[in-house]
Amino acid sequence: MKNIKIKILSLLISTLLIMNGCISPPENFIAPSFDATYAFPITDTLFTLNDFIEDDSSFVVSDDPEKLGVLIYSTEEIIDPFYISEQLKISAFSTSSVSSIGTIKIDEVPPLRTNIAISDWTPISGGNDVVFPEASAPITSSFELINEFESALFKSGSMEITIQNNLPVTTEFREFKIINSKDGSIVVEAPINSPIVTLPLESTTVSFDLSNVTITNSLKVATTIYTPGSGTDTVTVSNNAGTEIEIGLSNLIFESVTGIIPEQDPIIISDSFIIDDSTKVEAIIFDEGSFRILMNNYFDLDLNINFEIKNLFDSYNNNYNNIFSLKRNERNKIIEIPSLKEWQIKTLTPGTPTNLLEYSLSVLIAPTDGINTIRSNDSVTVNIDFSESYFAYAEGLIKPTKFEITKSDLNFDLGDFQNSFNFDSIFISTPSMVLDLSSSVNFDIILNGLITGTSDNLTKTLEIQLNLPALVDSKFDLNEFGFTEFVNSFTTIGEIPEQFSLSGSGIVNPNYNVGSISKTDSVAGGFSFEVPLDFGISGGSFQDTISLFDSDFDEATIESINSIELTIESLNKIPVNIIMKGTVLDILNNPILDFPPSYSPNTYISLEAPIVDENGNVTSAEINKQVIQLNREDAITFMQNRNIEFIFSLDTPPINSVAPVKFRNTDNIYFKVYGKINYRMNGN
Amino acid sequence: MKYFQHIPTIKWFSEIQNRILSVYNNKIVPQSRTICVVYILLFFLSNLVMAQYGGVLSYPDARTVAIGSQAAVTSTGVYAILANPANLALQGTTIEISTVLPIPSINAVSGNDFMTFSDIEYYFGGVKDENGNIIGRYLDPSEKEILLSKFNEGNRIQTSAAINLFSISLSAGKDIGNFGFSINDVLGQRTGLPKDLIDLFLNGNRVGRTYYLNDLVLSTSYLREYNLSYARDFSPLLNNIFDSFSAGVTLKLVHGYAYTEIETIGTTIKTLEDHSILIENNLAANIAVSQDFGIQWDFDDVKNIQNISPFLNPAGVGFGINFGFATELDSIWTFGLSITDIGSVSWDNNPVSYKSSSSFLISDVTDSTLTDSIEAALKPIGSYSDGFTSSLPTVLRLGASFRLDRFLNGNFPGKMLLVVGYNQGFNNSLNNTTSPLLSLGFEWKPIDLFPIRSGFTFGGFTGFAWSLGLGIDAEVVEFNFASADIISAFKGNDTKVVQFTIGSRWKF
Repeated sequence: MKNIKIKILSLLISTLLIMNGCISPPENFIAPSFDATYAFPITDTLFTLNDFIEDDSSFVVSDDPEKLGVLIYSTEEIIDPFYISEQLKISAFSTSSVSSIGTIKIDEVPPLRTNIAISDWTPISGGNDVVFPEASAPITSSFELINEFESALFKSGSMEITIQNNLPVTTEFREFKIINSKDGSIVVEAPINSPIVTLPLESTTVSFDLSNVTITNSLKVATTIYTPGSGTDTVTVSNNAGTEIEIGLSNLIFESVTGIIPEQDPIIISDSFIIDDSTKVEAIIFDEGSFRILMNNYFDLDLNINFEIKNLFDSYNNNYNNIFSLKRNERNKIIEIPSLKEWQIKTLTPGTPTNLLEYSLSVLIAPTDGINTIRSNDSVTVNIDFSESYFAYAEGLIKPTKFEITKSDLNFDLGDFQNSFNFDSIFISTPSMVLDLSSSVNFDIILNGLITGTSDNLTKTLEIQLNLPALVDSKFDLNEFGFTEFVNSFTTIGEIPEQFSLSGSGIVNPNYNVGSISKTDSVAGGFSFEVPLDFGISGGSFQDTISLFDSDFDEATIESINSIELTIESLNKIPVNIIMKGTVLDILNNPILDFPPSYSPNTYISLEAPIVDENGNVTSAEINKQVIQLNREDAITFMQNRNIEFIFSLDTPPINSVAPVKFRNTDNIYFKVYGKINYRMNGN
Repeated sequence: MKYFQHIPTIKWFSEIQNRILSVYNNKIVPQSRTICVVYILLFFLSNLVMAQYGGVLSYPDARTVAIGSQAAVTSTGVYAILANPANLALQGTTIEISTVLPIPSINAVSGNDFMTFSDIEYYFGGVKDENGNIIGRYLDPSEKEILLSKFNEGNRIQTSAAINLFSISLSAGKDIGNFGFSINDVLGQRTGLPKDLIDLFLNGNRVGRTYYLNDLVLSTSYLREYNLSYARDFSPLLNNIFDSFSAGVTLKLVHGYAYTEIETIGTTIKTLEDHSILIENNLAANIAVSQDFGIQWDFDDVKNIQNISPFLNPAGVGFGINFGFATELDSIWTFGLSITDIGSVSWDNNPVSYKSSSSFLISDVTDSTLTDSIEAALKPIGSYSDGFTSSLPTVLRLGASFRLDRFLNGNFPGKMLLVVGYNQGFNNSLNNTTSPLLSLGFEWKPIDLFPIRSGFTFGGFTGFAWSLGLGIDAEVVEFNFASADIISAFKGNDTKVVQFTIGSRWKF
């Protein structure tokens, strides 16, 4: 049994070994390599100009029957609005005033009296019949106190002194003086040699000028009373015999008064001042600004002030009126309105614009409870200051006002194309720039604008003057100012203006008319720049680097290429002759291969321009077929380096002229590109 | 193949097949190491030489294969269940059992009808470059033409395998008859490569020429059949004219686990004068796969759960019948006739069809949407279908054997059985061919222990073939080894076919 098993096993193994040895599959399965030529289409495309621009809103299609379908490069830019409000202002203005009380008013001073008894200066007593002897004696006698003031300095006035002689003899007041008791100063005095003589039982009145005389409230009389006596006559001396002196003050004009000051007449200031020499307003509403009143009180008295600006109104349409107090001798009292926003100045006579601001100041001097001094030259001063102010609204006769136009730019942005495009000359048939301005200002405006065009190497300006009526939208075609020539002055010498800007200045209300303006009034709008693609190019060239392939080919695939043949069939109905000559760039953008190479049947790619008529319209075109061949080395280089820098030479037909041709959205180039690739199929 | 896979139809079908195959490879393998080995071998071969082979079909009966695949007479015992159930009645033992032990009964073939191993070695073996590295052989134009000339009509790559999982035959005596039962897995894959496709690959697309892919074949089948047979000797009914005359029938239940076929294809590729490429696609394909494989269809969002088990939920169910007759005359002659695999499989458990009838003109390769556009236009659209049927490989088998040693009254060393047979397929289903097969063969037993078998076949899948096999008949257990085309083995790398059959059976 064991032998059988061994035999079975041996036979089995032998059989399997034999069978296994009979067939020897390849150790490595590697597909063979061989060269095969594959034909393939690359593209079959009709490119219309519309395809190029469909995502570019800068291009529109003309619906003008004369240029139907012609493409127009159109760009618009909003003009930065220029607000006249910046010019709606008045410079700071101010006025000042000083006012004094002038006349001091006090209560009438009643007559002052004093009585000199006989016994004061003679040995005689009243009630007797006596021979009145000659007598003389100095005498001093005080008057009643003056209640109306403690002292007063008079500008003018008079003091009347009446001497009532109740004696039966003549009296003489020698060296008669009225003296201020407090300081002994002489108020008035009779001349030394002119005694005041009063006959018996009579009176004598003398008057003294009080100019520059100070009187205190306590007066006394100092004199020497003399009487020659009755001689020998016996006279009856009555019981009340004596001499009575009375002082009366009249026609008093005070220089100053000290005492309890009664209420004085108010000081009234009523004046006006000019806001602006040329601008007269029916009304203006402030947007910014402030004013303040600065007052100084030179009285030794409290003052009550009532200040009013008659044609200045607050936001509630109440004219400005402010009542306030000034303490005695208070200086630099400031009353301020920090913001005049929404305040108004209005004319008080509607229909008659004014440039005056009218104000009044009433100063009330209240009676005092204590002792104060008031002088005739005591005063109050007032300074009224308006800061530089801006208006939210002004109506009236606004003076012609100059303003600056905010600079606005319009970029003629052709992107990278602009950097890559060169040309000898382009003549653009009818470029246009239209300013569309809208004025919300109720005044006419004159714009003295400046269009500045800037290219790489040039800056030129075009002056424009635009009359912009009040409250009207206006369009201005700058071709009236020579815009076509302006643009072509760039393009015909190889420059493309990249930017246009509008600047300059303007004048509001140049005719000095009545109108109105508010701070929101502006001149706004936009400017549109249109270049119809109706132009001729001579010697144009455009350089661009194109990456031809999106797909990634691995290195082995590329290395397997033996040759490439590309056939380009084109039918160009775009009125421009295009010659393409490329250079394959390496990763560092170094040129490494001419494309097409020099050995190729065609050494450049030409898209021949169609035939155009005298109006620049395409009439016919022919198919153009070109073949490009790349040998293995160049094909590999071509495939390994996808970036090709193409130089496109562009000329509009007829060549070497700049006669304008029309580019329409339906103009097209039909491309059919196909190729053959001889490829080494390699199964590794 | 990777170049061909860029052609949409082939690309798509390859994806479908790979998806199914990946399930085979990844999921079935763990179930049984034995089956695993077989599958790996088969698919290795089929994938390895997919562009090279065509094949023949046989049953897992190494003895029959060795004698020439005549089958009607030579398949006996458990093997008669599949080839000629009448032969069950001729079983000399009481019980025969064949299973995976000691060695499974397997018939496997993979091959093609256009390229030998030598060709494969030449074209795909590579050459050494100056650095000693193996690189692909460069084919100059003349060599390309030689390679292309190897492809003609058909260009089939055929891989088939039949695996007997379990068989038993029981002899209950002449009065009762004989019974048999077997379970077999039958796998097949056939690929047909259109010559135009090869030409397109090798020479590129010529302007103005149309390349036809009508001959493209991509078929796969995986069936499991349960056979129940009965045979009985009816010689008394013929007045004992023959030593024996038996008739047998096998009823079979077929579970189909996977099936793919291109029902119609009329795809053409034409390069126009302007080099644009016109692809006209006309394709209809049927696919049915057991849901247990968890195949996810691109048109169905429902998630299919993979549930691999030895007994899968079938995608198709079919019934078939084998019947046959066998007679012995004078203990020298034996005649047999059978018709096997009459029936079909209905694939109606969520079958899928993919269809495409459209054309696409490639005129602009710069179009970034081109790939998507081509796929959208040409990719077959899949949907669940109402089902389809596939035929079983119905074959008529005729055969006769002659015992030379008996005829010479023992004046022959050992035992010598001479056989002649004729097989005629009735359809070209995956494991069948309508090309008739004529076979001549013998089995010589110098000693009973070591039968030597050989035969010649004409026609069939491969034309002429010389089969050879050995056996070890240890009475209780029998081992058989065979090759249906030993010439190919002798040819070495000049063969186009790899085939082997092994098997064992227990006899009690």
